[in-house]
Amino acid sequence: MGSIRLENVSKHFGEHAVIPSIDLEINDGEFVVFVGPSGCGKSTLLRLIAGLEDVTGGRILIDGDDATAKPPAKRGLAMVFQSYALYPHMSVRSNIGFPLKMANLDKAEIDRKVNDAAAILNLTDYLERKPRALSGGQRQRVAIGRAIVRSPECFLFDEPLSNLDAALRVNMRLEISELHQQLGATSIYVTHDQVEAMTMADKIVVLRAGNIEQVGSPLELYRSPANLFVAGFIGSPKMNFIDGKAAEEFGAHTIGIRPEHVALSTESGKWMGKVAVSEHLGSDTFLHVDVPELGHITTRTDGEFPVRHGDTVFISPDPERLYRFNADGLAA
Amino acid sequence: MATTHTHSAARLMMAPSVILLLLWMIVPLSMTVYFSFLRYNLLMPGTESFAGFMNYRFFLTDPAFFQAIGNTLILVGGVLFATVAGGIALALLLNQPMFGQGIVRILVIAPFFVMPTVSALVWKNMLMNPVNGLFASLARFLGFQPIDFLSSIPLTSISLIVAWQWLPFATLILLTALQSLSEEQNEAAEMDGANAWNRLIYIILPHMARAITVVVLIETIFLLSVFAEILVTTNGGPGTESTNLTYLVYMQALLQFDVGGASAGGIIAVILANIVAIFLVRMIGKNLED
Amino acid sequence: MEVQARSNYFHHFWNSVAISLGSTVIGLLIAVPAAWAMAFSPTKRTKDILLWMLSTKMLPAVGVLVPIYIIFRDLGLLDTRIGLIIIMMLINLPIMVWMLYTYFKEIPGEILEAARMDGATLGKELVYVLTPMAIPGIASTLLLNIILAWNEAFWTLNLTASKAAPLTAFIASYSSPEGLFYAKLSAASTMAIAPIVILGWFSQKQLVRGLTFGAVK
Ligand SMILES: Nc1ncnc2c1ncn2[C@@H]1O[C@H](COP(=O)(O)OP(=O)(O)O)[C@@H](O)[C@H]1O
Ligand SMILES: [Mg+2]
Repeated sequence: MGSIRLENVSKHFGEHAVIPSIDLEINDGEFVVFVGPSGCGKSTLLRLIAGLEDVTGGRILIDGDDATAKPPAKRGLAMVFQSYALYPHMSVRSNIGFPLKMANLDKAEIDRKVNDAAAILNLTDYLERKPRALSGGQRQRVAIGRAIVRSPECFLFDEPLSNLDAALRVNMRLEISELHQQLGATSIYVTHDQVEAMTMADKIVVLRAGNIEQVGSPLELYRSPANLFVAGFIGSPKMNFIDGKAAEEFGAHTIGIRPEHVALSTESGKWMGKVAVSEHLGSDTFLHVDVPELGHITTRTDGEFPVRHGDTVFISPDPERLYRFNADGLAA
Repeated sequence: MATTHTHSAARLMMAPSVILLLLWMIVPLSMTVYFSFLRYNLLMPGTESFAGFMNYRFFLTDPAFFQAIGNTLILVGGVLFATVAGGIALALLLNQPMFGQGIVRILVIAPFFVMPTVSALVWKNMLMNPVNGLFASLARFLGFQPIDFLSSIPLTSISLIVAWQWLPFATLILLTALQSLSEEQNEAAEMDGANAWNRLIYIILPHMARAITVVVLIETIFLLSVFAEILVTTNGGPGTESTNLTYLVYMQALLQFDVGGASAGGIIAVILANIVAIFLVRMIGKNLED
Repeated sequence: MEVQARSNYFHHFWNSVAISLGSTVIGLLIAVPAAWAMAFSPTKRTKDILLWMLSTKMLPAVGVLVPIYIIFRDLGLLDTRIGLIIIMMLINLPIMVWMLYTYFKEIPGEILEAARMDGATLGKELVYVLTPMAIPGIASTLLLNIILAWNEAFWTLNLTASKAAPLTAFIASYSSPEGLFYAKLSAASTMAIAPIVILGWFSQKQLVRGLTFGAVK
C-alpha cells in the first residue's frame, strides 16, 4: 500500500549536484528517518518524493507505479512542513478540512473526518480558532491533522519538531510515534537530530552531501556503523576516535570507542588521564578526560562516579566493543 | 516551489508593467533630448530648426540658471538638515512611553498628508502673512517689527514650509528604525556603564544609520522637484530669488513656451537627479539581497 | 455666489476622487500580476527589473514635462481626467509594484506548497489561499497610492486648467485674498485634507514601507 522505491534519483540545482544518485527501498508501514547534518540534501530528497521538486534523473515508484511525473496531490502523500505552513486566514477546522474540500467531499463527510482527526490530536476545543491563537505544539498538531484526514499512503515530515522547545519536542516525538503505531501508514521523517532518529525510526537512512552513507535499523547503526561518519553521527555523546600508535596496537588505522564502552577506575587501567570537566547528572556521570597519549576522551558511566576537575582517572576500553576503521575511514 | 513551466506565464504577467514603464521612460525622455537641440517655441509653430548646443549654452550662461542651481541645493540641503535633525529628536521623543502617545503620533505625522498646495497656502496666508499672519501678531505681541517672510527671506521661508511637510516622513521612518532596536541591546550597554548620551552615540545612532541614509536619499529625490510650494507662495520671486531648477524649467516651458530651452534645463535636472539615484538604487539593491 | 462656489468645490473634489481612485485601481490591475510573478517565480533578472522600475521613479518630472505637455496637447488629453489618471498611474506604478512585491515576498512558499500537497489546483489555490493572504498587502498599497495621487501637485497643476482640475489645482488658484477668503480657504483646505489624513493615519506603517521601497519596514 505505501511502498516507495527510488531508482537512481538525482537532483541538480544548476551546476550544483545536491543529490548525485540515490537508490532506496522503503517498505509499506515503515517509519523511515532521513538523518544527516544540515545542508546534506534531506529536505531536497523529501521534496523530490513529494513532487514539490522535479527530479533531474531517475525514477520514483510509489506502490510499484512510476510517480516521477505525477503532481504532488496525485501521489497519495501528505506532508508536515517545518514551519507548519498553516493557512493563517482559516480556522483550525478549515485548515484540517482543506485537503478534503479540495477533493470535493461533501460537507458532512468533511466535518466527520475533521472531528475524528481533532479527537485523535486533542484539538476538539480549538477547532474554531485561527492558527495565530495557538501554541507551537498545537499548531504542530493542526499540521499533522491536516495530513492525517486524507488517510494518505505515506506521511512526509520535514523537521517537524525543530521549532518546539525541548520538553514539547519529547512529547510530540512520542505522539508521532504513537500515531504511527495507530495508523500504520508509511512515514518518512527528516531530521538532523540523531536522538529523534534513534528513538522513532524503524529504519534510518544516514545522508551526507547527498549520498547515502548507511541504511539500517537504529541498533544496527549503533552496533556496526559502516564508516567513521556514521559512527560519529550516531550515538550521544559522540564516539571517541583515536589514531596513531594507540590505534595500531589494535590493528587499525583509527579506533572508535563509545563513551559508554569504557571502564573507569581511580586506581588502575589502560590509560591514565586527568579529569578536565565532570558532569554529574545523578543518573549518569560524563567525564571529559585529558589523556596524554590519546588526547581528549569523553566517558559515560551509570550513576555517580565521584571525581572532580584535576583528579586522576584510569580508562580501559571494552575490547569487545571497540570499533576499528581502515585508512579510508571504513569499518574494518 | 519551482517545478516547471511557470516562467513564461511569469513573463506575461510582468509584460504590461515593464512595457508601460519602458515607454514612459524612453519616449518622453528621448523627445526631451531631441527638443533640447532645437530652436522651438510653442508660440511660433513650424519654425523649429536645429540649434546644436545653443539651448545648453543659453542655460549655462544665464545667471538665473546658476541661481536656480544654488537655490535648489540650498533648499535640498536646508530641508534635509532640518528634517533629519528634527526627525531624530522627534523619533527619540515619541519612542518614550508617554501619555496620549497615539494622539501625539497622529499630530506629528499629519502634515505629511496635507496636500502641498494647501500647506503652502496656509503658511502663506495664515502664518507668514506680514499683516494678519500668526507670526506677525506674535512678533508685534513681543514688541518686534514683523517681517514679510516671503518677500524678504523667500527661500528660507519656502524651506521652512517644505521642512514642515517632510519632517513627519523623516520622523516616521526613524521611529520605525528606532523601534526595531532591541531593548536588550540598550540594556546591555547600560550594564556596560554607558550613559544616555553614550548610548545615543554608540548604539542608537549607528543603529539608525541605514534609515537615516534612506531618508536622505529619498527626500533628496523629492526635494529636487519641489514645485507647488513655490508656485503658490512666491512664484519664484522676488526676481529669481526663490526659483529652483524645477520652477525655472516650468517657467521656460509653460510661461515662455520655449520648448528647446526648457528641454535643455530638463536634461540638466535629469542628470542631477541621476547622480543621487545611483546611490539610492545601489543601496536598495544591496538591501534586496538579504 | 455661495452655491456656485460650493458646486465648484464638489466638482473638483470629484475630480480628485476620480483621479486618485482611477489611477490606483488601474495601476493595481497592472502591478499585481507583475509583483506576483516577481515574488513567486523569480529569475536572475528579477532584481534588476525591480531596480530599474525604481529608477524610473527617480526621473524628475521636469525632465519630461515638455514632451508630455506636447503629447497631451496633440492627443487632446490636456485638462482631462483620463490624461491625469494615466500620468498618476505611471508615476506610481513603480511604488505599487515594489510594495506589492515586498508583501507577496512575505507569503511563505511552504504555504503554497502545502496547498499543492493538499490537492488544490492553481485556480483553487488562487481563490482559497493566495488571494485571502494577499489582500492586506493589496489594501495597503491601494491606500498609500490613493494618498499619493490625491496630494500630487506637479502634474495636476501643469496639465489641468479647470475642467479636470483636482483639489490641489483648485486650491492653488485661491491665491489672492478677497472677500471671505480665510473662511473659504479654511473650509476648502479642511475638506481637502481631512479624508486623506484619516487614510494616512490608517496606513502609516505601509507609508514607511512604500516610500522607502521596502528598505525600512
Ligand atoms: N531551490 C534551491 N536552489 C538551489 N540550491 C538549493 C535549493 N534548495 C536546496 N539547495 C541546496 O541544496 C543543498 C541541500 O539542501 P537541503 O535539502 O535543504 O538540506 P537539508 O534539508 O539537509 O538541510 C544545500 O546546499 C542547499 O543550498
Ligand atoms: Mg531541511
